Amino acid sequence: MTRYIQKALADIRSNRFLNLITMVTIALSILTVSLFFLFFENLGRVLDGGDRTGRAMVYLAPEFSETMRPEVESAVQDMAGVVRVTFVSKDQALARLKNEMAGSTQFLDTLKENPLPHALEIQIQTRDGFEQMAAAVEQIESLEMVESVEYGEKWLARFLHLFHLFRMTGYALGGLFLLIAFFITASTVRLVFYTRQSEVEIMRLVGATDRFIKMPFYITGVIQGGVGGILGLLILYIAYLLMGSGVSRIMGDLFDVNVRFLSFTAMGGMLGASTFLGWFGCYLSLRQLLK
Amino acid sequence: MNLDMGKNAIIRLFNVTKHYGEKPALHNVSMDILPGEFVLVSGPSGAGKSTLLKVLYLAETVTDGQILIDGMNLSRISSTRLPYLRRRFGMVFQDFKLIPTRTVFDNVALALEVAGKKSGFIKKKVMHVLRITGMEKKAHVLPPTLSGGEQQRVAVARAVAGDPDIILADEPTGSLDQESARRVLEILLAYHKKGVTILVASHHLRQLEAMVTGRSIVLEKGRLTSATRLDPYTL
Repeated sequence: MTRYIQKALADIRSNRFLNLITMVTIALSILTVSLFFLFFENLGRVLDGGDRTGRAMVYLAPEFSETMRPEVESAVQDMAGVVRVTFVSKDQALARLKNEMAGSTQFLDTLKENPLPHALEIQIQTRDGFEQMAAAVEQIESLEMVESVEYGEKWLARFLHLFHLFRMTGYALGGLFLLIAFFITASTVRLVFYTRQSEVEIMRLVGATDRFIKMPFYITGVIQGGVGGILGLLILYIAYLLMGSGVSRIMGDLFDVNVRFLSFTAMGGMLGASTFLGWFGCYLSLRQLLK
Repeated sequence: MNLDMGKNAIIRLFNVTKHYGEKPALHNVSMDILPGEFVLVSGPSGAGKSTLLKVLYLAETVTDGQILIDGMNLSRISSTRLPYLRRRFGMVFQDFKLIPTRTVFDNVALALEVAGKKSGFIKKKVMHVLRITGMEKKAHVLPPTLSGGEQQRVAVARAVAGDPDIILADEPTGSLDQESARRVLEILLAYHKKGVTILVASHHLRQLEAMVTGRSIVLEKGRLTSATRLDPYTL
């Protein structure tokens, strides 16, 4: 095996440019695929909610009165996933509105009656995703004295749909990049093989087995894939260090979540995939060439 | 063909025929070669000399007939066993067939590396055969920097490094001057004296006939037309 490794390294040294091109191509493919993974891993954590909760406003029916408050609050609190219930009276709601519209409240002062309903501001657990929130809201809407519940569902449904579409596109593009890297690796092996064809012929004449001929190529493929993978992940990590803090701040403000780099499992998977790619490209090319 | 001789033969050919398209390169060739025998294969261009050697180491397959190498039927040998058969041969070619990007040492070592020999053994053995062929001082140069005679001596070193049972030499002195040719032949003869079976396909009849004790066979248009004893002492 040592001999094969030495031969592979010697081959890489003697075809430096060709091997460099292959490694860079694999690195760019891994970088692209890892970037998608990084994005989806972090966005997935946003959508999964983690330990977070979602807010919703439960608008109560006009016939609601404060005497019904303990019963209604209790009924909502008992719903699965409801973490906190805060009663907002119509007067409190009007005061909030005047506060938010500070400087433009003249028309509110002309109102004879407060048109705003009583409401319950609730926080719902979203550990199992926003689908959990939708399920809880549906249950709350069925309660007596509940007029409607609002939580931005239309925006969320559209976003989820787009996210899934984007994720599928990302996977498809990632797969395409990996396929491109695979074909380039296979082509490189063919080129190197053709330049060494007379050498391979001589090796066969002196009694070299197919294994003796193929092993250095396989090891070259593994090295190309491994180095390409490490390079791709390294570039991504540097980009993460340079830009991560800025993105983290935005994500933290918007979604209360930190941007994390790929997990060790994900990095291991990427490296394994790139190494396999390098080897597989060699394997398929040589299978045909040495027939 | 003498059947008694055949029982001990290391190479046996039975009605071997080889066609390239319509053209017969070999036609019904039958012969036995004993272990340690020196056989000179001669004939005009296109007689089938190179083809005869090629079918022995399975660079070509026969169209008809059978070949036995030490009792092993070549028509039944699988592709996985072929490398092991070829290690029993040492081969020398007119165009040397050296790897130009490997040093002299590495070219000769290849014959031992493919057999899985250890590095220490390879180093000793390679330097030994390079000494025999007079090329030990050029161990770390690349073949293209050597003369034709020197390259052929390296090729012979590679051929003998694996201690083959049989050496096949296809026009080993074809592109060499007389002095270089003589040196190459001397090395082959030295191994012949050690008991290695040698087949040489060559035009250089006179030089060889004057040096060799063995047998000369003549091919014409793929047919074996004559076989005579060679004895330099009777010339």
